[in-house]
Amino acid sequence: MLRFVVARCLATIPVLIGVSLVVFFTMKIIPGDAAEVLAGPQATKEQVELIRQSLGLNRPLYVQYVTWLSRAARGDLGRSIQLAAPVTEMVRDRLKNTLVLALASALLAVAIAVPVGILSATHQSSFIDRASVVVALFGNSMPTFWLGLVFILILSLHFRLFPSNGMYSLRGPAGIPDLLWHLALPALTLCNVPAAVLARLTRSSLLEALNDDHVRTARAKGLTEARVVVRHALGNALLPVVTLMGMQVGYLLGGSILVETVFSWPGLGLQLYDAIGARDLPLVQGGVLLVATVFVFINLFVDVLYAVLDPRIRYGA
Amino acid sequence: MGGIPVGRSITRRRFLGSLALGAGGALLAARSTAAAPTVGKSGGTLIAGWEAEPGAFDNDIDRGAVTRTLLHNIYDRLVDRNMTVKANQPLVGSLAVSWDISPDAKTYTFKLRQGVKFHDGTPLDAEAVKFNIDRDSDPSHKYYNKAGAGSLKLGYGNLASVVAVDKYTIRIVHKDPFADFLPVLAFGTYSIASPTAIQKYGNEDYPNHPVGTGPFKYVSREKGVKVTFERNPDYWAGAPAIDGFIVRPLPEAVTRVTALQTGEVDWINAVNPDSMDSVKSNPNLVLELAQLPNTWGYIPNHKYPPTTKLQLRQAMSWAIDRETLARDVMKGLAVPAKGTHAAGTPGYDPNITGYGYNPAKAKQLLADAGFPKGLPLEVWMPAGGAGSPFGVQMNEFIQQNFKDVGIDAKFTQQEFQTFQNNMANGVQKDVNALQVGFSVDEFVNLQRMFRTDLQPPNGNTNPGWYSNAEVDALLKKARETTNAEQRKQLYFQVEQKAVDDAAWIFVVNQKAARAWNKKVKGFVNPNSYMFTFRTVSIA
Repeated sequence: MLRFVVARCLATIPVLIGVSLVVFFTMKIIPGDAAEVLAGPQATKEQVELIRQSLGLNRPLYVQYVTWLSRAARGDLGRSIQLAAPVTEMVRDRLKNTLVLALASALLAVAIAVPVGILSATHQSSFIDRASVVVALFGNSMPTFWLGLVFILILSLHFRLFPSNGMYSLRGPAGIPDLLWHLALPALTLCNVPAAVLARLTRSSLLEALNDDHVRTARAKGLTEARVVVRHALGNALLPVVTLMGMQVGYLLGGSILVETVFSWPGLGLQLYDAIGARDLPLVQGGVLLVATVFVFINLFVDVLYAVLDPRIRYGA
Repeated sequence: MGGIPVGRSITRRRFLGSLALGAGGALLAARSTAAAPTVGKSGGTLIAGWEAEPGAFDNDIDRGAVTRTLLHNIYDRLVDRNMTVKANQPLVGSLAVSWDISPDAKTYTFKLRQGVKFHDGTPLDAEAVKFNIDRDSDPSHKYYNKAGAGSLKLGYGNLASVVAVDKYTIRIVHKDPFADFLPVLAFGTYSIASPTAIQKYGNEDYPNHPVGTGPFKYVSREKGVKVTFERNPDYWAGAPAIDGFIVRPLPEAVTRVTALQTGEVDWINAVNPDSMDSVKSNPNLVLELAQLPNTWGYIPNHKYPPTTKLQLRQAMSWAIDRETLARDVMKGLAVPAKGTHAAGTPGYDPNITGYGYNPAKAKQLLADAGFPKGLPLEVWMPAGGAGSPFGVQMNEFIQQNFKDVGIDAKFTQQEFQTFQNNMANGVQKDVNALQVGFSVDEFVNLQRMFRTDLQPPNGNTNPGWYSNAEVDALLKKARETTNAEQRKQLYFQVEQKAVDDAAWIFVVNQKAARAWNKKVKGFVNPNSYMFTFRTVSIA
């Protein structure tokens, strides 16, 4: 097991270097640089060049990359142009909020998808099964930002059930209940696609598991169907669900840009949206690097978790 | 200068003096300020929904209008446009109570307001003002700010000297005549910051600890969540009635309007056109439009044919149905542009009639220009269209207008910075026009737009290579004319020439839609990108 974990951890190193290369050079391909943004449209070329020198942007690209990477490894991602603050602090603070939203959405997705998937599988071709297909198709097809706006207009504006924006109230006390109240609509919006995908996968995976030999044996022993499903089929059926959930976290992080913007949720997605609008290149660079790194580590975590759940994986390694 | 009492008792605007610009000759003196017309009670915190997260609050760097207007709440400048006036905001003294201008328009001597303190207690005096100017103009200054110097090049880029004559007198000398210096000093980025705070935090960190003399003090920022300001109880023109205000970034337009309708915020900027009717029909809300000093249009290529032909540029001008564009495409958030300046903003000349919509005349002019069967044109614009949320739809509408008279215009979208670089390099042979949205708030912009010697690479605001010796002579005379009224007339002549020459294809002047809860009293919605919450109270 240890060997498997170490091998997987070592494999992330070239991936992370690849990520850093892509992030760095993508930002370099974009026309313009931080010096031009900082200097403003009125500055002379000499003034822009002075700023460029002070930021080290006149040095060869590979030197800039190595400098940037070594600083990033030490936790220094430069300074935001628009907000004049260290990028590391900014993205760290905001990542926390994004993870709160992503985690809540993931939990909500599992809480909705697994029971629906089980019901569909155990009631194959019934009304419940067909209804879940329609709902899942709907959930998978709706653009996230559109769904978010619909929730705002109906549940926030019309029924006044939930706040339309933010993470906590600007007026009145902020606490866990206030946070959950603010979390409701963005989490519901963001969980929509993963819930739909997971529900369908749970269904098909459970149907497959229910046809396994050991399940037939369990039934032959005279166990109740509920016990057969929960004790003997569900464990195996949820293995691919765990993997897919890990991949869906990537979606949740990416989808957070749209959802956080619609709900003004102060996470990394909204920060990236603002940074792109303000052409705050160091902040965009730092934010994208962080999201990509988090994604790599989540994949690593899922791989390890999968190995824990399924011995065939770790022995295969 | 003592403070002015605030609260219920103040119900009218009080001016201590008004602008004496135009009083003739070399001596121009002004003593003025404006007190808040408050109606509601004192206290309370206003929550304002903003269309984007404001940038850092450097006093001298332009981080866009969403940030710049907050500089007007934190800082003061030597002189100011009075933003508590709805239209044609007068230029008034702020930290300067009076000034002398030398007959050659090079030397400005300001008498400073006495008894004013920065929010950190540092007294405002001539040394403090000199510190600010040197910081953005003198590379040997210990706190020289390269980015600030770039941002303030227009005002401080050609200084001969800055001298603190005595504790409350400062003399600024330009190398060349600069009669437009006062309105330039009224720009938000010419704000005066506390030297103590800059020394304490250094250039890098100062923007996170801004300290001015303005009506509100910066308190804190929770990025992406809120920026908090509190009233300056010692404000020299009278403390604001509210305890403070919170800026809440709400980038999604529907969410912003919803937050206003549900009472989560009290005031919002940039109401989206689709929501205007629902805001108007809500009895608890007020929706008000403000004419912006904005000119949206096209800069033709004056250097390379075919747009070097006057008749072609005039044909383009006559071909555009501005009324329909403003009413239907832009949902009333614009008026047809007649020239460089919008009605209701300082610098508007009512005698300039501009171009109407006359396709027949456009066709005739095309034929006169030698294109009886029409011609193709290449127009470049930044991705999404420049300077308007309707950018793409506007260009599509105008493309059809052009087509109706025989001009087959191809619009090419470019990445923003690429477009900016093209502006800086000037429009090249294969491009016939650039689409731009310009803030034309002061006459000095006409210098930047039309001066031959500011063509690229000497500037990026005359990228179409416009050049007219008569206009250059008028602009030079304007730079040397200290009498504001005479200078205004010179600029009116420049504008008329620019319209006659179709130096630009002027299309529309855009408006801003702002809305607030009726419990918010006393907000003046000025015809400007800038505004202040100094006059606000909450009922």
